[in-house]
Amino acid sequence: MTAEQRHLVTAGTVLGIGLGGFVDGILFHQILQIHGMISARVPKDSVVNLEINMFWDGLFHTLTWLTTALGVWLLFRLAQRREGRLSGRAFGGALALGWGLFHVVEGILDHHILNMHHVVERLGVSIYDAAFLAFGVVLLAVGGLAIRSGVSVRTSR
Amino acid sequence: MKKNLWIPSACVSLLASTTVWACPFCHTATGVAIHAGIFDGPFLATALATAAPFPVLLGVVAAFHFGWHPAAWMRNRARHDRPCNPTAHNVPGNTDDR
Repeated sequence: MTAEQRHLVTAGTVLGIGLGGFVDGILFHQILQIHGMISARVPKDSVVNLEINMFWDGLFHTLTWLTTALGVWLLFRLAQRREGRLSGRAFGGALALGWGLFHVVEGILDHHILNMHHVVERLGVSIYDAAFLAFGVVLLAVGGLAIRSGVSVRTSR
Repeated sequence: MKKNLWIPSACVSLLASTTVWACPFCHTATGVAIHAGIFDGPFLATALATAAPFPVLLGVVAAFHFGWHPAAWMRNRARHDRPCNPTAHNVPGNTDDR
């Protein structure tokens, strides 16, 4: 892998982490409302507890936004330094890799070790937590394969 | 007043106005309970737990980028800081980093 490809994969992975965090925060925390940031510790069963969870959701979204901004900056810096064409497949793979990485790390840390929340809070630790991790592993595999394919196609040209 | 001072002055005026601070929850029993729930509990521990995945994730990405071994990390950092040769990547068959 050349330095250019490595920078592309790094920028894509960081962006993927940020975007994966936003999928979690927007879909699970806000639209479906099946858990909040600390809903295993402070159940969302009253206005007070909802607002407390909302505060910690806000901190989570702040860090997710900063990670996304870092990914955009890395990508912009790469675009400034190079004039060559970049592999879309490798970049897409890196996005998937970052998203998968988010699922695996956040799933293990927040759902199982720190006991912050679970995917479907009313069920506690459930099959959905395992599915969350499994989806992350699938994304890691798909992302890794796409990066490998994109990098080899680009290098062989 | 200079034209470029209008924006910060307007912002300060808006933030100083009472309507900004007219939070319907803040001065009620509910607001006090929310404030206590956030700040009177284990605030630092919860903040650290909320932030915990991000340094781990960025650490993994940094390890992928610079290498897992500290020596490889230093070598790649040094290579990373070296000035870029703008024509190197246009040479056919060149897969050198810079």
